[in-house]
Amino acid sequence: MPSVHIDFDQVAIDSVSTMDTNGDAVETSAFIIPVIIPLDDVGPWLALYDETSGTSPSAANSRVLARAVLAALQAAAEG
Amino acid sequence: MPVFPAFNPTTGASGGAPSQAGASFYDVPFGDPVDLTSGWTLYDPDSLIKSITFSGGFHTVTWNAVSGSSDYNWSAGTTHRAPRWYRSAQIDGTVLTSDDVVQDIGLVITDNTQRGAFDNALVHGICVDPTSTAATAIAGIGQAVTVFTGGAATASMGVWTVNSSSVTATSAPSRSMSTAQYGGRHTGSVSFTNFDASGFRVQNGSRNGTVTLGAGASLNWIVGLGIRSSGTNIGQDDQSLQFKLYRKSVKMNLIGVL
Repeated sequence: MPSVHIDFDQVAIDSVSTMDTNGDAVETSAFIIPVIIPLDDVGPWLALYDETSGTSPSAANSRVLARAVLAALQAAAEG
Repeated sequence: MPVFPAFNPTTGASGGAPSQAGASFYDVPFGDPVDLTSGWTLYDPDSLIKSITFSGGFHTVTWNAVSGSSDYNWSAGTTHRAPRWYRSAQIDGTVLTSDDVVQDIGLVITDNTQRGAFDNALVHGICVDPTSTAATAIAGIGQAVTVFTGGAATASMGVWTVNSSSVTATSAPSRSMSTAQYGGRHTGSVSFTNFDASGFRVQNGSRNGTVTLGAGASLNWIVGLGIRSSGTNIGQDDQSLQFKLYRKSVKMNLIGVL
């Protein structure tokens, strides 16, 4: 399983105006959570992802990413 | 080799005659506040600015009516048609270029009792082409201030990078200082510290620019006004946030140390 980390020191609350990956405008007050994916794990992560499939990545693989982000969000939100 | 200080040691102005001995970099004065009504050129492709006044260091801007569009939001889209004032970025009469690596320092003070009639925004920094309407050709970074008339009782303050921004109203700031490290043929990065009235930090942050600059392009200082959200409409004779600006640019000599 490829790894993922959160740069927790750099989690911040800001009002951010920018564009997301799809080019859609984002304007919101938010937690900004930097996700660290080691370069050695980029290939393995992308191999698990098929952008044309609504069921990709698998639940197990998605959970690795989701839990990393949500653990950081929970810790930051609880201060 | 002659010494060319980065600012006039008496007035703190970025321009002015170089001194013989150079100037201290401790307690560098900001000098007089920016006066957009004198020495700055307004580029306003859609004639949105009805008037601007300058009194006590603060600017008051009155607008003509317009319907909301991302074109008038400095932190969205690829087209910027919002009004902006600009002037050539010079230190001691030498025009800065995109080849230089410049520390561009800005200070903004807001009158949070005069935040304007609509959700508005201010950007203040350094750029390449202030008369372009393409965000990546303007290539500006610096300070950002936004006003949400239905939200926080103070302006939100932070930083602007090309067509995005990060700001915060945490702890009710009315003063913010930023330093952009701009150039070397890239927009670089910008960081900010929001202050209380005593000059102590209440919040800080940063943001990276993402635009590669061409070689040898002349730089300009820029002050842009617009809407906070792309859907915000401006009514005839609406006013925006009253603000005071200071600025300073410093260029280190990299020759001989690289």
